[in-house]
Parts: sequence; C-alpha cells; structure tokens
Amino acid sequence: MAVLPAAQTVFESYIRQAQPRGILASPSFLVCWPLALAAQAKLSAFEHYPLPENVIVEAMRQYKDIWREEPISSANQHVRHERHQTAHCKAESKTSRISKISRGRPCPRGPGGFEALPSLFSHILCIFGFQVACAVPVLTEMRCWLIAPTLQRPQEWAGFLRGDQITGQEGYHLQGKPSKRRGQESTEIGRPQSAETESHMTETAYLIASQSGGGIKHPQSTPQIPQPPRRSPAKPSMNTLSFHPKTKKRNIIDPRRQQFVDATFSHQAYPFRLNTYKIPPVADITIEQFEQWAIDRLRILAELEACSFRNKSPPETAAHMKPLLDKYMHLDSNSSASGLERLQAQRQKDHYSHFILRLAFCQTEDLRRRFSRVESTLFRMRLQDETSDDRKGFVNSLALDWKDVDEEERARFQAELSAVSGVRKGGEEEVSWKKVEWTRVPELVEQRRVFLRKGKAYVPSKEQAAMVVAQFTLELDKNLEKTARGLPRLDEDDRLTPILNHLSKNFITPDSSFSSSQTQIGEVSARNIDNLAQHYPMCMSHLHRSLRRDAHLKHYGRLQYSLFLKGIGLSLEECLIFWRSAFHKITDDTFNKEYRYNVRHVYGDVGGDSNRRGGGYSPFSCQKLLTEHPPGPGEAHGCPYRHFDVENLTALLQSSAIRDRAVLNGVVQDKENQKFHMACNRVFEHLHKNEIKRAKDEGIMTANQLETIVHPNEYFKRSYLLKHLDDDTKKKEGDGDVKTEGGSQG
Amino acid sequence: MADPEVKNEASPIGEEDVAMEDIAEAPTATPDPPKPKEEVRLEDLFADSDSDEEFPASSRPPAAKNGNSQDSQPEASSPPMTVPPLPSDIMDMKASDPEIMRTFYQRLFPWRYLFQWLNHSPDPSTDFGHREFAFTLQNDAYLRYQSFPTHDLYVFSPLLLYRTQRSSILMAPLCLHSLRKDILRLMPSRFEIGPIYTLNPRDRKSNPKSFRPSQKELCFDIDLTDYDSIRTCCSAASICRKCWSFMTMAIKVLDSSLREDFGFKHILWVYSGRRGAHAWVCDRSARSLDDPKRRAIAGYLEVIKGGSQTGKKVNLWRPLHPHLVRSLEILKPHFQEDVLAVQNPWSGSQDAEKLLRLLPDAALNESLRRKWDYAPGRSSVSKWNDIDSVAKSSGGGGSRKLDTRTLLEAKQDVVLEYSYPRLDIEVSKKLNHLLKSPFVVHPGTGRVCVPIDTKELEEFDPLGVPTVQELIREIDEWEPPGNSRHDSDREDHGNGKANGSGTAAKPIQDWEKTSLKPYIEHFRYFVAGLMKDERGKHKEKDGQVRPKREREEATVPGSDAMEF
Repeated sequence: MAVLPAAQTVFESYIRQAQPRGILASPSFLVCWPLALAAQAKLSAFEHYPLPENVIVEAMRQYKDIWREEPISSANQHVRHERHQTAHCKAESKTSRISKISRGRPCPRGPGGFEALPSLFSHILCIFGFQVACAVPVLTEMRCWLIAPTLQRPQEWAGFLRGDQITGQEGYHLQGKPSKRRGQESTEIGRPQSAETESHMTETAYLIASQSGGGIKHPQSTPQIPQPPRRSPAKPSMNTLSFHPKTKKRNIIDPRRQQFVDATFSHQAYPFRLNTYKIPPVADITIEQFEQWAIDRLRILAELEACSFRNKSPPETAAHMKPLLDKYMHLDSNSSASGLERLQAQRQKDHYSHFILRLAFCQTEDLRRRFSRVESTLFRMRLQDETSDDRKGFVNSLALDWKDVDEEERARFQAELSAVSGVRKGGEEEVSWKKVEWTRVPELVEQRRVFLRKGKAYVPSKEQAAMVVAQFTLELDKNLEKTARGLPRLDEDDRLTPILNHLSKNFITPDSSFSSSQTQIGEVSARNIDNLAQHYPMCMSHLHRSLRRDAHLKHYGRLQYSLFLKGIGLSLEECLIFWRSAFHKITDDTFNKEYRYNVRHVYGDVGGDSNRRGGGYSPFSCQKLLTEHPPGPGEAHGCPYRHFDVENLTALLQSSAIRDRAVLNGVVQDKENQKFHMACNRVFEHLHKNEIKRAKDEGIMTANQLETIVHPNEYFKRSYLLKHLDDDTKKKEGDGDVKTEGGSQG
Repeated sequence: MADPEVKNEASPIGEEDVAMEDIAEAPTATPDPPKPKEEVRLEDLFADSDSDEEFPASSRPPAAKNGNSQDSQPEASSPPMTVPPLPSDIMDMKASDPEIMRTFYQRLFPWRYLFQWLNHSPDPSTDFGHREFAFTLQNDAYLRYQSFPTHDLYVFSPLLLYRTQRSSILMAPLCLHSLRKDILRLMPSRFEIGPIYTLNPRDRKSNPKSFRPSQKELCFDIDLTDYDSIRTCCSAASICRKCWSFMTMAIKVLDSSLREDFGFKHILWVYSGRRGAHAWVCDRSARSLDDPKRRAIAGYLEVIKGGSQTGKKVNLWRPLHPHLVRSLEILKPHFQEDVLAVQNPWSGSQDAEKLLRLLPDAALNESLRRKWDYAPGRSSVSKWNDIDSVAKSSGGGGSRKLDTRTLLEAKQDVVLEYSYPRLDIEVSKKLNHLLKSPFVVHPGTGRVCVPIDTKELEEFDPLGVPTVQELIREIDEWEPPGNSRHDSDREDHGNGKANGSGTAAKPIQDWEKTSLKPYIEHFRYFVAGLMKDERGKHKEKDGQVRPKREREEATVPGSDAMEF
C-alpha cells in the first residue's frame, strides 16, 4: 500500500499540470485514458500495484464534470490536439514511430487522432510508471483495433516494451519527471532496485500479453528490435534488376508460405499457358526487358479496352485481338511443337509483364479498376481459347472450393435446375452442377443464371468458367490493393518509378480525357443553349426536350446533362442560370435547397477535397451512358439507342427530322446487333453528310478526326465544327483531343 | 404548406373528392354534437393539414375529450393537466414542430432498441460507435458523419467501463455525446442511418485514406410513385389502401426471395411514413456485402427495367428462373384481385392500348381492339379473359398460327409488369447509402415510420399508422390501471428500466400507453432475435478463429474489484 500516495500524487500533478495548458478545458480523452487505465489496472489483478480508489473517483468526477459542459467541435479537437503536440512533442518523438526514433530523426507531426494515441498512451503509462506492464495488452489491442492499417509488428512492440522506450526516459522530463525519478520512487516504495524492476516488468508484460493473446513475442525471443524490411542493403548493378516485389509485412503465420525464404527459388515453372499470377516473379531481368515487356502487354490491354468501348462482342474482340496477341504476347499451348524452353520464355514474359503493370496501375482507384477489368477480359479470352484438356487441368490446379451437387439434391430441385440451365427436358444429363456460396459468383446471380437456395448458388457447368474468372478478378483486385500499399517503398528506386509513371500515364481512358479547352465554340451561355441544341447527340437532345417539356429532370438526367454542358464549355454561373430558368415551376428556395448544390458539385465547386481539386466529374462517355445506371421509370437519361424500344426510338429520330428509310432501318439493325455507337454515328453521318463530304474533299479534317464518335461531347464538337466550316476554315479546328484508344504507343 | 401536402393529408379518407368535402366541413365542425371517438380522430387528421395557420385553439372541436360538450373553452373544461401542451393543441401542431418532436424523442422513441439493433449486442461496440448518422435539421440543413458511442447518457457503471475499454469505444476520443442527447439538442426533423465505417466518422479527416464504409444493412426501398404508370387510384405522393396492395405484393415477393434464395433471416420492413416501405436486411452476412455483391442482389431482384420510353419493361429469359416462377405464384392471386378488379387498369380504350402493346400478335391485337371498341367500359377482368378466348377462336381463323406458349409468356410478362416489385434500386446498390431510420416521424404526414410485421402484412394499413400528434395525445389520455400516473410520467425514456432496476414494480413506459406499443414490441422482438443470432455467431467465431478473446475472459479475475 505504500505505493498509493505516490500514485495519487502523480495523478494529481498530472491533472494539475494539464489544466492550465487547456488540455482539460474540453472533454478530452486525455482524461479518460488514465481512467481507463485505472480500471484496467484493477481488472488485471495487479495486486502489487492497486490503484487508490479515490484516484479513480477523482478522475471520474473530473471527466464527468467536463463532459457535461459543452459539445466538442472538431475545431476544438484540433486545437487541443495541437496543444498536446507541442506540449509533448518530445515524448511523441520518442514513442510514436519506433523506426524513426531508432534512426534518430524527429518524428513529423502526426496526423492526429488515432495516430497520436499510442504515444499518448505510453505517455500516460509513464505517468503511472509502474503501470507499464499491465497496460501493455490494452495498448496492443488498441493498436490493432484502431490503426490496423498502420499496425506495427508485434515484435516491434515487444522491442518497444523491453527497449529504450522505457529505460531511456528522456521523453518525460517535460513532465518534470527526470529519468531517475521513477527509479527513486520504486526504491522509496520498497521495490527491488530499478534494474531488477525492469526485468521483472518485462517478464510480466510478456506474461500478460501472451495471456491476452496480444501477439507480443517474448522479448527474449527477439534479440533485436527488428527493422522493417527496407531495400536490400546492397544495390544491384544498374542494368540488371532484382525484382523483389514487396514482401508481406505481417500475417506470416506459416514460415513455409514465406515466398522468398528459399533463395534458390528463382525460376518458376509454368505448367499451363494460363496463369493466375499468384506468385510474384523473383528472377532478375534487365531494365530494358522490364520496359519492353510492360509496353507489349500494355498494347494488348489498351486494345482490349478499346474493343470494349466500341462495344465489340466477345467473339469479335477475340478475332480482333488474335493478330495482336500473336505479335506481342504470343503464348503457345502445351501441345504446340515449340520447345519447352520457348514455352517457358513466353510464359515468363506474360508473368513478368503482368506484375510490372500491376505496379504501374495500382496507384489510383480508377487505374486499378480498369486494369483489373481488362486483365480479367484477357484472362477470360485465354481461358476460352484454351484446349479443353489444358483448361481442365488448369482449373483443377486452382483447387477452388466448390462442391458437387449430389444426385439427391439434383432430384429435389430438378425443375428449378433445369429452368436455370436453360435445357429443356431430356438434355439435362450432360449438365453437372457445382454448389458454392453465392457471394463467389455475383455476376451470375445478377443475371439470374444460377439457382439460389438459402445462400448457396448452384452453378451449371457452362457457367463454371465464369466462376474461375470471377475468382481471378477477385484475387487480382485484392492484390492490386496490397500492391498499392506496398508501392511507396519503391519510391526510392529512381530507375523504376519513372518507367512506371510513364506506363500508367499512357493508359489513358477516353472518358476522362475529354477537354473542351481547345475548341472554339461561339457563345456558350444559358440563353444560347436552345440554339446549340441542334448539335446535340440524341441522348442529350432527348434530355433537353424532356427538360423543356416537364421543366424538370431526375437526378441522373441532371447529372448527365450538366456534365455535358460543362463539357461544351458552359461556365458554372451560366449553368446555374440555365437550370434555374429551366426549372421554372419551382421556387427559388426549392431550387437553392435541392438543386444548386448538385450543379456546383458537378463543377467541382463544392464537395470533397478530391472533387474540388479535380474540378468535378468529367463528362460521361458513351461507354458510361451505355453501361451504367440504366434509366428507370420517369427518367430520361442514358442512351436512346440502347434504352428506348424500337418504336420510341424511331419516333424520336423522326421527330429529329431523320426520315431516310435506309438510315432508320440501319439504326434499327444496329440496335438489334447491340451496336449503339454505330447507330449514333450513322445518324451523325446522315445529319452531316454534306459537311463531311466537303470537309473530306477540302481536306480540312483528317480521317482521324472523323473516326467513330464515342463521346457525346465529341459528337457535339464535331457537329458544331462541321456546321461552322465557313466561320472557321482559317482556324485550326478539330484537334483530336478526345482519345479514343488508350495509349497504344511504344 | 404546398398543395400536394394538403392532398396527401386528405388521403386518409381514401377518395379525394370525399376528402375535399371534409376539409370544407372542418372549420364548421365546432357546433356538432360530440362524435364517437373514432370519427373525431379522423377529422383531426385533416386539422393538421392546414396547421401552419394559427387557428385559435378554441375553434377546434375538443377532440380529445370524450363526451365533452363544452366546446367554447376546452382549456377550462379539461381536467388539470401536468403536461403543458393540450391535446387539441397537439392535434393542431405540425409534426415537425420542435415541441412535438422533443416530446416524441424524449418519451416515445425506442432509443434502446434502436441502439441494440444497430449495435448487435447490449455492450457498446464499434458497430454502433462507428456508425454514421445524418440529421436533417428543422431549417433543412443536413448534418452528415455524426456518430455516437451509445444511444443514451453514458452510464458509468464499472462493468460498462470495463467493457467499453475492451471494445475500444473509449478509443473513439470525441464521441462523448449520446445519440439521444444530440437529437434532443438539435431536434432534427428526421435522421438517417448510414454505414459503419472503418474509423469513427467524426475522425474521418484524421486518416482519410483508411476511412471507408465497411458494413451496412442491405436496404431496399419501394416507393409507390414508381407505380404511377399502373395505378389508377392515386398518383405521386398520395396513397390509399387500394394501391398499398402493390406494396403488400412487393413485400411478399422480396421477403420470400431474400429468405429462400439468399438465406437471410433478419429482415425488417419499415413503413416510410408516406408512400413507401424500406427493407433492412440485418444478417451479418448481408451487412458485410460489398458494392458488387449488393449490385448483384439488386440485379437479381430487379425485373422491371427501363424508363418511360422503354416499351416493354419486362424482358426475361425462358424458361423462367425459379425466383420468377415463385414470384409469379405469389403474385397471381393479387394480380386478379388487387390489380385487375380493384385498379382496373385497362378500362379506357387508351389504357387498353397499353395492354395490347404488350401482346405479341398483331392479328390478335386487332380482333381484341375491335371487340373492346364494341363494348366500351368493359372491365379489365373481362379484357384479360378475352385475350385467351379471342386467341383460341382467332387462332383457328385467319391469323397465322399463334403459339400458345408465346401468348402465355406474354401474359406472364404482363402479370409481372403490373405486380412485380418496382425497386428504387440505387438504394440497394451502394454500401454508403443513407436511409431514414425506423421510428422517425415523417415530417410531411406526421406518421411514425413503424416496422411492418410480415406475419400480419395483409392487415397493415398505412393510413392507420399513428401520427405523432395522436401518440402524444394518447399518452395524455392514458389512465393507469392503478393511480400512479405522475410516477409513470417521470419514467420517460427507453432505458428507464436499465436504471431503475431497484424499483419493485416495472414502470410503464410511455410508448406502452400508446398505439405505438405493438410496433415497438415487434421491433423489440426482431432486435432480440438478431442479437441472439449475433451472440451465437460471436461465440462460434471466438471459439474457432480467435481463441484469444476467450482466454482473456478467463484470465480476468475478480470483476468485483471494479466497483467504486
């Protein structure tokens, strides 16, 4: 019990010291921490160090009083945090980033909030001196729960516990507690000498930690504070490159799964043409290879994406891609005549290039999504291309966890199953069924191509390829994100980063690259919109007409139209005027309340940081209109060629003065073949046939500038330019600033 | 208040013209002899339609007082009240009136069950603590990213403290407010529930990279406005019992699919206060679905696609998917009764064109058209039957061979188009979509967003859902079986039970005195089921994956040491 007065003094002095600095002026977790700690201290039955009850009561009183006072605004939080930072920056530099400290650098100001907690906590630990040991499990758990993404390794914590953080003590002299103080205290209260205390405490810390399963290794088992793996100390020579993608930082449970433990492991064998890219490559390649392989693969992917933008069907895409694939990424099948070595080389290139591009395209959400989409397409294409034997072998090698549906179940759900497989009675024998969690095959569920029962999906054999692809996509997405997290470590390599940046820049998406900056469109103002509407593509003119008819558009209609208007160069002010006057049936108040914000958001005038920095969204491309958000009841957005039925579409076209039977039939034909962009271009060509002819004859526009339109704004711009050939023949018109295919350059 | 509001308020009567009559009558109703209680209540509903105008309270019939004949001075005649606002005033007040809202939130709102529902256990955890709430304030300002460690005042029981520490609530440093307290302070006209985030939403700025939604109930929203093209009784915001049957069908179909196909168990259906219903699928597996999987479910359930310009909105593969076969079975009787007979959607010749457009055969259409032109005003039921009979007779004569299968499929499509649920699909697709909380008051109608018991789905009457004004009046009118009225008034909020465990008799809570009682009891039952399941799963999980937790529990000795 001798410890009690000491503890109380420390606690009180802490409170007293903190108060003038304003730390306690607002409800603060600084106050609840000692409290939590106190409770924990009691709980973990540390009978040697019971905390006096009056201390806890005092803490609670303080805490409650303050709590009752005032709400905390986030500004308040900030200020308080700042104060805390300045007051204890030394302490923080000690504790918040172990690796940093060990290098003797001052810790940069933490981002606040949770980041500051560990340091804060350890700060409090030291106030309570003797409490260190018992607070450790709390500390670890807190760390796990709160800042999982930046979780340090348990070993580091162990090092922290054992090491300098506690013995060093310099961090705490701000509290008026020089390093020796604690040692004195312990002597005073009749504990053994400090060195012994130290070891005793570490021992206990370990004990408790292991009891709570906090993942803290025994201090003795880690002889040194492990440094996070940085670059290998010896740099490889400049023109060969050791390709070591990031090693996993944590969760290495089974040492056998550590991929790089075995140093002799340098060349992978590729038994199949297909690869799920689970294991990163480790062999050395030259930097030239690095670049060349990546560019070759990029060509393929860019072309694949262009195919999807053109709405090519899978067989068409496959036909289109065949020569390209042969040229850049040829992969021979196992049965081909080429030698094993050649096979391996081809597959190695495929493997390595995939991982290089992974590095290049993991950086932003958008790039990741597109990369995984085209990679999946490529994978699907190859899977279908594979001979059935190889495919079977490959699929079996994946060890997917699907179950066969037994006879009994098949008999029970016979009607349902045959309905799903689309096979009329009789032909059912060949279909085999697999049973998986429905979450494994969301695409199939979405299209109702599987039978669902109590969360299990029954997948017919013909859809099983889709499952393999889905699995591929899933893992790729996951790994891309992991790569993104690991990528910053590559920053220090000044050979790779430029290449990677270069690669990712060349993967330009058509929908984000539209800029209206270089076109000279006469007057774009709210008044002039009706006039400009003659140059609109069907989707926009339908929106425009609906707007004029109803004096209202639903959300996606507004979004699509506003973005389009933004794309043709309508300023925010004019756009607001336009919408305000268009919605003439509502009051100013309603408009301001419900619509103004949206328009401003579209222009990037308000909203989150990234929205404002990026200047809002970019105008929707045809691809986006065709694939995302099909219009629901009462909505007018989307692509008329796709979302209208034939009758309404014909009526719409006729009302736009298109009466040529050939054109109308052509449009209907295109629609049936799902070539909506073709239909749109057909209409464009019809409406501008004289101008196009003239432009071609006079050589004003190159063929490149007259290629297929895949963006409504491109439609508008081209239409405008063609109709104003006379005005600006002298001007340099028609810059091809809408890229229609991703950087197929090399 | 705008016109549509008035219309909407009038809808309780059902037919619009009747409603107008009643409104005209309302101001003159004063000298009427006292009516039976039921009738008066209905009339009071209209009263709040023109509630912005400051009618003197005395001009109202003394609605709340049974058999009180003194109409000129209801205040004087009423028995002395302990609660300031008088019943007749209450019925006059707007639902979003701060005073009404305060009383509602203070005395009726089931905070504790809401907390348990979102928290999935009685101990505060991040399931609740990291949950986003969004408030719509009285001035229509919209506050997002609110979060709270618990629903109510933070009780400093040592046990709770211990638990909190373990479950890292205390780590969320700034959430020292409680949901209830903040709501009473800000008095939002409604609030919405968002996802659980990876961080406390209030700290989103501190680590924006790792701040993202991690869990949310799978939600569905059905709105009767989407049925405007097929319902004939009402349009836009107004509803009646007739068109509510669309909702009944929709709930049946969705509920059965979610349960049988996807295996979800905990599905809460909530009336949205005016013209729609929400579903909250609360199973753990549903909560942690990511956006693509939500999209998959939405796509699976969505049958009616396309805007106003899409001709045929139902386009399905044949043979029909089992889900659709089952849905058709559910919908068929409703289609006959609620759609054909009640809605009578094809009575006019123009409307009948809509039907004909959905049929596959031109010759058949022609003969049908001729037949119906001949007998104008033929009912939809007969017209529906005509299709088959005409097909049979004309199939032999003249027109090219009409496949019975094609016709059957077309008819199936018609049934689906006229009865299959029309979902507001965007709500279901996104993890971070906010949805109005259950038990919130709809600011326009004053009705409480009560849960719908699917067992008594057919009996649910959206127009019989109590309004907040009625509820407050009911508290005032409530007579205790004994006489301890004042005591019970003080026991106001939901956790009264938790605090006052020492008192001998269980105090009657305010909601138990009102017609909100069955709804809250249903909710409580639902939440209890959810928590039970959740607990089971926790144990399972702890036992298998994280034995750590169990051991820790075992090694914590002497919980009694925590008392202070």
